[in-house]
Parts: sequence; structure tokens; C-alpha cells
Amino acid sequence: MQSSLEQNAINEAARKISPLQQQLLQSLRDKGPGLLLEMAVRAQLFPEDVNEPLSGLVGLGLATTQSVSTSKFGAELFVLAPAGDKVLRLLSDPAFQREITAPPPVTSAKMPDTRQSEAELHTKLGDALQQQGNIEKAIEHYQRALELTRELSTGSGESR
Amino acid sequence: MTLRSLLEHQSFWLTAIAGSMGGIWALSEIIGQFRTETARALRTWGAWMLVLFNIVAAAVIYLLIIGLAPGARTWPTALAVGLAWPTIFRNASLKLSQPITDAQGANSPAIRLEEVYGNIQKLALQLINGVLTRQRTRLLTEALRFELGDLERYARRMIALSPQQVDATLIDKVLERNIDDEAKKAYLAALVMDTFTRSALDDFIREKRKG
Repeated sequence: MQSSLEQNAINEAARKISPLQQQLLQSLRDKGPGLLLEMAVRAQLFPEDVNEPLSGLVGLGLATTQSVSTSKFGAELFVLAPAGDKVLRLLSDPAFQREITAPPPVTSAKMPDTRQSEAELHTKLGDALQQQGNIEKAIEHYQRALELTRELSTGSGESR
Repeated sequence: MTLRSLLEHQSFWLTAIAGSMGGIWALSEIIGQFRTETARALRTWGAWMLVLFNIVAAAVIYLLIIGLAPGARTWPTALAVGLAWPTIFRNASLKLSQPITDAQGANSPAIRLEEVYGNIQKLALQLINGVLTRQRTRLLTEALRFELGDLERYARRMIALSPQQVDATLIDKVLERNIDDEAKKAYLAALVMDTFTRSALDDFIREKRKG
């Protein structure tokens, strides 16, 4: 039985791979193992375009390589790994497709609140003005910093 | 035991049924792995090694089962063992040597049956891949002997005649690239072979040889 740890790794890999990598994986399943040149042809691209995406798939454990006798068409044969097959199955699952295409939920709690840094900046401005002797202006900035700090502590006002 | 008495023995035929099912299982694995080159894959040593291993393993497991449970000498059991033996084998927690404690287990030379099967399967697939890749590279190398213009015309003809969706401008892009003619020919030959099967490139080579 597949462990949840393995399933998590499969889910993460399925989210990570690019459409080109998905296409390359699919071609490995449909057409079997291929040399770099063959993989490029399958994607209707050139070897230098698919070299890095293929290395990425190997790095993720979704494809493996098998050394072949030195050939001008590529020294390595790319083969679909069992994990790659699982990723393809997951990517064809409508529920997973919906999950990855849905925009992430936006909640107000996740919006960054700038009031804290604004209050700090007003305090720093107040310090600078006070050192210059502009007490009146410094007080204005200290008061604004105070208001913002109070808003934050009571949770009033809209987050920005 | 003579051959005649062996053939008359019910267990022989039941074991043969289990073994045959194991062989069919291996064949389906090869077909699944080499969908576009099944016939060629089946003509390799690696394929026969995998089929033979599956036949023997299914037969041995069935013999072990009937040895432990004589009541299992029925054809449905033989069929079931033949079909399900990889599951029995892969999920077997049996080890060739049983560790007494976890610590011993970690260092013991115990080999899981699943790993044995995995290694044999991997070796067989590697052998098949090796043979098929050598055949394809030989064909590509042979195609390089012909003129770039001939390969270009053949590739264009194949794209025009084929119902498969291939970007026709791909050939122009290859020809416009700042690479040597050998690389262009290799790409076009690989395009014909991979998109329209190996037979298409074979036909081109045969056509050109005939002149």
C-alpha cells in the first residue's frame, strides 16, 4: 500500500512540474523510453530546450536514465519511473485538476497589515525631527504613530 | 517418472496453468511498457527472460501452495495463483532470512522477495531498452547517409499525408537553424521515426536504396 508520505511527494511533484515536463512524461508513457533527440522531437522542440526539463524530471525521481553506448543522438536513455506514472495518473484526475487550477482563497487575515511598519516609520520620523529641533512636527508624527498602534492593539479599522 | 506419467499427472497440468498465467502477466507488462514497439520488444532476450521468470515463479508458488494445502489442487486455484502471484510475491513480508530483532534486521543480509522481483524486472527492461535503442540508433545512422533534401521532402510528405497533428513549420525551423547538416538530418530522421513509427523511416531507407 502506498504510504501517505509517498502520496505527499507525488502530489508535490505533480504541482511542481511544468506543462512541458508533463508533456515529456506523457510521451515517455505513450511512446516508451527515448534518447534526448527523440524526446526533443516528441515535444516538437530542440534538444537544448528539453535537456533541463528532463534533468528536472530525473531530479524529482519521475524519470530515470539508462546509459547507452556513446551515440551522437544522446548518451542517455530517458525512462518513465513508477513515480512518474503515478504523477501522470494524478494529473489526469479531474478532482486534482480542479484543485490545481482553482485560485488560492484570499482572506483578509492573510492580507499584509502595513500599519505596524507605518507606525514605526512615523516614530523614526518623529525622532529625526526632534533631533533637528522641529518639536511641533515631531509631535504630529508621534501622535500618528500612537493612533496606528492603538488601532492595531484594538483591532479596529481595515487592514491594509 | 516418465514423461507419459508426468503428463497424466493432474498436478502437472495445474502447475502449467499457473505458469501460463504468470507468462501472460509478464507479456502484458511488456506490452504496457513498449506500446509502440511491442513486437520488437518481444523478440529480445530481456523479454523472454522476464516471461520465463514469471512462468517459473508462478509455477513454483503454486507447487508450494499445493504442498502446504493439498486441497488447492483445483484449476480455479491454479488460475488464481497464476494471475495473482505477483501480488503474493510483491506483498510477501517473507524474508529469505528472518531477523530476530529490528536492529538485526537492519544489518542482516535479508532480501525481500519484492526486491528480487524488482531487480529482475529492472534488468529485463534494461536489456529490452538497450536492444531497441541500438536498433533505433542504427536506423538513424543509416538515414544520415542520404541527402538532407531527400529527408526533408520525405518528412514533408509524411506530415502532409498523416492525420497526426505535426507542426509543419517545424521542418522549416530545423532547416533555418544554425547547426550542421548532419544534425539537421538526424532531427528529421528522428522526427519521421518517432512520429510515424520506425517502419516509416525503414521505408524511406529502402526507397532510397532502390534509387
